[in-house]
Amino acid sequence: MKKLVLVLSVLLAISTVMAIELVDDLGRLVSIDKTPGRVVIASPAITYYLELLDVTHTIVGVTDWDSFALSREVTKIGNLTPLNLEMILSLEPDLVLISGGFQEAEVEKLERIGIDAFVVNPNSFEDIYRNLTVLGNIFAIPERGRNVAAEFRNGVLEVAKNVYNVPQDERPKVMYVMIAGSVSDIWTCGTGSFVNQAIAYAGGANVAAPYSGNNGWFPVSPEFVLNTQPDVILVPYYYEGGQREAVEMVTSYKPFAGVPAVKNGRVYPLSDSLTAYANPRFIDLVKALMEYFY
Amino acid sequence: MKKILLFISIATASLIGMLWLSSFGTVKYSMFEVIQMISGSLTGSRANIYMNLRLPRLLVAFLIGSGLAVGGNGLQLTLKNPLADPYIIGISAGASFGAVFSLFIKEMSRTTINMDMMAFLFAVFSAFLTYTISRRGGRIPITTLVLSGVIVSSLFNAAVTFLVVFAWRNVITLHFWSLGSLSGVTWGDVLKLLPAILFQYFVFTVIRRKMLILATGEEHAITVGVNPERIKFVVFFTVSIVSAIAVSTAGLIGFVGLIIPHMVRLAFGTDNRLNLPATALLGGFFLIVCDTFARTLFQPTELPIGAVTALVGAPVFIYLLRSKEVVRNG
Repeated sequence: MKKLVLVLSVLLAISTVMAIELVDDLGRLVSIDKTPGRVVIASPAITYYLELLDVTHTIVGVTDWDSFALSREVTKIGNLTPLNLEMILSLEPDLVLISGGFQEAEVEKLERIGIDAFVVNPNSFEDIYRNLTVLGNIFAIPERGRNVAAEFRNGVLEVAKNVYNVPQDERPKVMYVMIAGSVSDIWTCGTGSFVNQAIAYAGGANVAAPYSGNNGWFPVSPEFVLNTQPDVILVPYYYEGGQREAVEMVTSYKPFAGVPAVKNGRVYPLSDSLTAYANPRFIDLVKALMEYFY
Repeated sequence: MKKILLFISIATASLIGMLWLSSFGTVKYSMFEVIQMISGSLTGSRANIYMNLRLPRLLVAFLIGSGLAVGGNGLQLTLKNPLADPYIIGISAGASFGAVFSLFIKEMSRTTINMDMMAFLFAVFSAFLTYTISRRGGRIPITTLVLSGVIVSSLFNAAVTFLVVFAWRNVITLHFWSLGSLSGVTWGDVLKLLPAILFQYFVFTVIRRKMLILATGEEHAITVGVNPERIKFVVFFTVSIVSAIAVSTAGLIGFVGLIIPHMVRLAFGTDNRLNLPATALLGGFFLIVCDTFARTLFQPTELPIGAVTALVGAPVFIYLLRSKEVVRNG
């Protein structure tokens, strides 16, 4: 009996110590009373973090667009916005992981119905690193969080080391061209975006770097491409086999015929799984870019 | 007498219909469970979802639907125009601009302005703007009203886009909505809507007779001592309050204020004591039906409720535009 009391009191002591408070990417102070055993991921951008930290067994729901649901039996909760609150509540999650930006309004809704939400909204290499350690703390595996984060940072710096001293005039002029529908509707990335950072680490000179928009992304007209004359154009593709089509969108546009990237056949496809979300695949993005640049 | 019976049967059918429709959604309930949960004899996590999400959502849909329908009814009478509705004459667009503008000010200068207040101010402004533009020699022809409404709506929608893009250039995000959704409304929203809807209903009941006199013609109204401008002001003012709160709660929801008053006129007649209660009841029930579709059609993904009402409402609008009533007045 005494032993039982002792064990119980130790367990109690541990669980009290476990209550931690963390600041999320919206600057909210979130207190985590117990290690979450049931987690809903309200944005596909976050799932890979949990895979790296090896805590995917806690996931009870993901959005319709999450590739995590392709390989596993997991409840789909619908769109990123508006969130299906009934569905989330019925999954009885300990924690909902959600991204910021256009999902900010949803965070408030979750708060109002009393669901603990933690915002993971990384926009840079440093944010990815920090979120790995923060999530490690949330899942009560701080050691693993720190290790994975350190591995990630060292990995990126290891790759970046190869090109850091290439002089500015020998770096290829690069532009990321995301085409929404037709060539007249181009989005690119400037200062503040993680893709811009990846281009810099891979030894490229992003022609859009002097500009910025929300989270670093902004739309430009085809004239911008002609004006900046990039040596390399990067285009995202969205499904395996979509590479050729993505590249042809740029190369077949007549006015671009004189752009160095098109003339020299340096329009390269990038899987959108690398460029859509700021997650630890950042390292693969830097590697892929460096291969194209040098 | 026949009409009273009709009203009672519609009321009963709507009440049962509402409870029945409330059982559909991501989480499904049986009718028996619904009754148990409302009477409070069933608790637990399923009941929690119903009482904290489903039920307030149902009530908000009802309140907004009946508020917009009663508002449309009032506008149609005072403007002598069967196509008047808060959405079509631009009040909703003005309100949504006001709501987005309040968010914009909050993001840019960190001063908080009440969203409902701002939505209301611009709702009133757009109502009078449409009114002024469309008025031709003391009357408001149908075509000019619809055209002015389109112009005022596109003006404010463009202004919303302008604000959103401008804000976005300055690295902030405005969460704006073009087609409304009832996802995530709470009891707080019910309590916010209820006084506004009751106020509008009360005002319209009090001035109902004067509105009916006004509907027979402004000259006639003046000779029997009714001031047309004052009635119009009161109606615009009241409808603007309701539209503003509806928009800041659930976004743009169109056509409810158009279809329902028309259906009620066909069933009960314009000059009937039951006209207003029937409009409120059917408007609320109609939006609950639309929200049930929005919630269940592509679940777990939700449709914007404004898309559902527009899908039903636009054909009715076309029908009304071609109908005798309009041809005669146009």
